[in-house]
Amino acid sequence: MYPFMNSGGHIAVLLAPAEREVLRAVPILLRNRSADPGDPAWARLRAVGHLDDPDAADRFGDLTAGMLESALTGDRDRLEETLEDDLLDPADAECWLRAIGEARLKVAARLGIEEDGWEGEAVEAELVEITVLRMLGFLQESLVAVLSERI
Amino acid sequence: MAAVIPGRDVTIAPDRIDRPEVRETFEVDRGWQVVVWNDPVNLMSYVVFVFRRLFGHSLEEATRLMLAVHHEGRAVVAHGPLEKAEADCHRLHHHGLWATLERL
Repeated sequence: MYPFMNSGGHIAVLLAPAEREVLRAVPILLRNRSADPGDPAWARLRAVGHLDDPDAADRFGDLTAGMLESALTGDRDRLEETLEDDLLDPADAECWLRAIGEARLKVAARLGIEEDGWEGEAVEAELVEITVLRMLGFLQESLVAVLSERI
Repeated sequence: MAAVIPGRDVTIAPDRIDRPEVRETFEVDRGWQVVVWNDPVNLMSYVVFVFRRLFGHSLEEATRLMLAVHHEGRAVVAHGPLEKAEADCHRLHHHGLWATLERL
């Protein structure tokens, strides 16, 4: 069964219990984001706009870091507030999409995933985090499918 | 050219004006481009969706750009003045894509 379906002006949420349980962990995972430069997840999610110009990169960071944090926090809050709903507004579904994506980036960074083709190696590792990464990927892909029908 | 004052037999030499030694050059700002880089985590379908949603690309164009990112490591997805390019870059960061700016 598909976890999401378009239903008129809304998106019907048809999550299995295990899928909803994984989503409940997303806001908790993201809320614990640390500002530690030694944390690979922090480094991956930090916005660097200019690669070759440190001054411009600092200016861009000063300009956008607060806005980015606020926007990501807004996504996370909407996910948490609507997590038990059976119907989503498309705008809320996009908040889910981004929050799930941010969680995947964070888990992957902490697993040290830096190259394409990690999926094959990950199967052998059988880590819980890999299972979470795969489930979140399935849910994000399903949301992309229904939201793409609305473009 | 010299000037002659009527009624007087006097000729006034023009002032000599030195050419300014400083030559100003102006660099034309041709704008900026927004580059999206490959990463191993974001789903291909999600990247296509983001390109369509943010930039209004067709499915075909968004897919072409996503494949360029995937196979070539990067693709230019937008361009314009610095303010617009930085706004686009910020929106891509909000969607979790690795984006940077380059001067054209």
